[in-house]
Amino acid sequence: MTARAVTVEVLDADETGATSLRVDRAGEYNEESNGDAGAFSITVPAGSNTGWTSVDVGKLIRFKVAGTADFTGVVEEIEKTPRSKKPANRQVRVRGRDWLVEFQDTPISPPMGVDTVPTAAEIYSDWRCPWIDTSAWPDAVFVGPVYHADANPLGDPWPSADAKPGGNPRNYPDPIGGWIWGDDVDGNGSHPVDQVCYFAKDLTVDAGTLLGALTCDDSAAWSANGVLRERGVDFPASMWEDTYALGEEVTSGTVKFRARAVNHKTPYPNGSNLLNPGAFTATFYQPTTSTLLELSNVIARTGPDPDGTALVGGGWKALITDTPPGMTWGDFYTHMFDIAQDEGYLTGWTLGFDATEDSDGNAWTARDDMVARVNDTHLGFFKQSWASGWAEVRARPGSRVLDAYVWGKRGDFWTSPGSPPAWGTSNASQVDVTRRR
Amino acid sequence: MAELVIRVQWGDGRITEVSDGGTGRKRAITYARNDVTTVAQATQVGEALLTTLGTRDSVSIGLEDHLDWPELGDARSTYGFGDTLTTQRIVGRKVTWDSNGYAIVTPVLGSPEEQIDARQKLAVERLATGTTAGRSAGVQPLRQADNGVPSGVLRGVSMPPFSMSDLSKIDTATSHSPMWTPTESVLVLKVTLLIAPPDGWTDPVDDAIDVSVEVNGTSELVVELPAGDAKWSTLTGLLIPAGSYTQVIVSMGTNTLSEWENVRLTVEFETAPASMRVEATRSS
Repeated sequence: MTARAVTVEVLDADETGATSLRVDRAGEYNEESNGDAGAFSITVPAGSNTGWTSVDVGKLIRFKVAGTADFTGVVEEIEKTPRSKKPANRQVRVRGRDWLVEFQDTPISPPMGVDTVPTAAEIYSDWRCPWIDTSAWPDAVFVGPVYHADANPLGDPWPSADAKPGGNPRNYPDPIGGWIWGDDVDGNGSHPVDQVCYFAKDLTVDAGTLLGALTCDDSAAWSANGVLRERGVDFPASMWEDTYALGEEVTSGTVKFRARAVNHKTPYPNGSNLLNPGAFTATFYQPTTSTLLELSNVIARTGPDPDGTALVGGGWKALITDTPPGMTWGDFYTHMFDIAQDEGYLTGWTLGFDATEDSDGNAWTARDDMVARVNDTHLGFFKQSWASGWAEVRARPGSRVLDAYVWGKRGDFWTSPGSPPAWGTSNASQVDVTRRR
Repeated sequence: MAELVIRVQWGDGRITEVSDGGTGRKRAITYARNDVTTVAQATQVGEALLTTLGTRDSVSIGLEDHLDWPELGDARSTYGFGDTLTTQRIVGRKVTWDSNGYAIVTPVLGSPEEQIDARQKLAVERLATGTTAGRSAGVQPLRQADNGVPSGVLRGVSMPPFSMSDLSKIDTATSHSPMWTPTESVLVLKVTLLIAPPDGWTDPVDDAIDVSVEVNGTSELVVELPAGDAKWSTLTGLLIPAGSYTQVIVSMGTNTLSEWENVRLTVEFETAPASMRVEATRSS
C-alpha cells in the first residue's frame, strides 16, 4: 500500500491561520489543463474537532496528499446546516474552484494602463503592440528632404539632390521634414519591391491634442498606443502624393507611435526596379503656442538627423525584416500581469516563468498572432491561450505562483517517451473511453 | 466512412465546398470566415480544416492507491477504444478519497489526435487570415474597413501665384501685386521665384531682386533672388491667417531698370492647411 492520505485544511486568504478540517467521503477536486480553474467540493460534519466553524467564503481550502500540497481552492459557496434534530445532518458543504480563479476577478487593462488615451480595446502582439521592446532596433536612415529647395527657412543651403527626388506630398505642413527608411537606397535609387519596414517612436506629449501629418512611399499602417489609426493602401494605390492627418486626444506622458510601411512595385513596367525608394515621413504637433500648425508647435518629426534631437528627426527606430515583430507569450502576459498588480489586483501572486523561458525552462517563441481583449478576465485569456495553442497555465498548489508552459510542453508527453508508464488492467479500476467524430 | 464536406462561407455570402472524397453518407461542417475573399482562399482553408477532423478518443481511468501519481501533460500508455494500449496525454484529473481518507485519482487522457486539434485549428485560422500576403494573422484586421478611421487625407488649400510682367516698370513705392485674402489660415512651406525673360535677353548680373510678402501691411517674409539666378526657392513656415490682406512687393534694388524690360517674375507658393482637417474621401 502506498497510503496516500488526503488531508484538508482551511486558510485565510493570505494563507495564514491554517485549521485542519475533517471531511467526509463526499468530496473531490479537479485539475484541468485547459486554462480553466477546476472545481472542488467538500463536506465538513459538525463537531468540536472538525473545524467546520472555520470555513467561510473567500477562504482557501488546501488539499494535501501524503503531506504535500496538491490543490488549493477558493471557497465560493458554503451551505451550512447548523441546527437539525438529526445530529448527522449538521454540517457545512463547501464548493469552490482552484485558486487560479483569482485571475477571473482581474480584468485585462489597456496596454498603457487605465486613465491613458488613446487606449486600445484589443491588445495585439504584432508590430503595433506598445509592449514590444524596440530599443534594439536600428536608428532610421535619412532618405531625403520632403521639400526640395535652394535654401532652408534659415537661409542656409538645403540638399536638393538626394535619394528621394521628385515632388513633395500635397499639403505636407512641415518644410523641414524628412523621408526615412530602414536602409539606404541601392544603386538604382530603390529599395526592394515589397520590402517591409517597421518604425517606432515614443512621443513625449502634454495632455491635450496631438496632431500628426504623415505619408509613405508607398503604403503605411500606423497605430498610437496599440490603436490602429490607418491601414494603408493597396497596390496600385500609393500614399505619398497626399498627406494624411492623424488627430488624437492624449494624456500627458508617452504615446507609443508605431508604423508598418511597405514599398510597392511601381505601377508601370520597371524590370530593374529603378528609382523606387521606400520612404516614410511624419511630423507631430501639439497646438500649445497657438491653435495652428506653426513650427513652434512641432514636438517630433522624421528628419535629416536620426541621431539628433526630436526636432531634427532624432529617436526614430526602423527595422527591416521578413519576420514580423512579435512577442513571446511570457513577455506578453508579464506585461498584462504587471499592469494588473500596479492597479491593485492579484496581490501576492508571482510568475513562475519569464519573457524567454516557460516554467520548465523551455524557450518561448515570439509570435504576432496573440490577442487579448481589454476588460475580459485574465482567466479568460488563459482559456483562450490554451485553445489557441499559445500556452498552458496552472496555479501552483502550495504558493501563489502562476506557472505557464509552451503549449503542449507541460509534462513529458511532448518529449514522446518511447515507452511511457503503462496503466493496464492491473492498475486501473475502471476505464471509460469516449470517441468523437 | 461518411463523406466529410467542409463548406466555407465568407463575407459576401459565397460558399465553397471541400470534400474528403468518402463514399458514404455526407456530413457537412460549415466554417464562416470573413477574412476569406476568394474561392482559392476558401478552398485552401477548407482543405486545411479537413485535415483537423477525424475521430478522436478520450479516456478516463480510475486509479485507486496507485504508485504512479499523474501530473498533467505527462504521457501514459493505456487502453484506448480498441482495448489496446496506446499513448495518451493526461489533460485533467479528479481526486476523491475513500472512507479511510486515501486518495483515488481519476485522470482524463486525450489521444494525440485530440491534442493536436487546437494547434491545427490555429493553423487554419492563420491560413484563413492570409499569411501568404505577407501579413500575419494578427495584422489582418487591418483589412476591416472600420479600422483606421481617425486618419485621412489632409484637405488642400492654395495660394495663387503672383506675376509681374515687366520688371523695368517696377516702382517699389506703388507697384504692388494684387491683394489676396485667404478664407482660411494657410501655411506657406516653400516660395519659388522664377524669371521669364524675352528671347535674347541676358541677365545683367548686377544685383539681387528682393521679394517681400506683406501680411496686413507688414513684411513677414523676404526672399532674395540672387544675381544671375533665373530660379530660386526657399523653405519657410510663414503663417497667413484667415482674412488677412496679403500682397507681394518686388524690390529691384540697385538694378538698372531699363535692362529688365519685358522680363517677367513669377512668385509661386507651396502651401498646407494651417489647421488639421481631413478630406471626406479616401484615395483607396
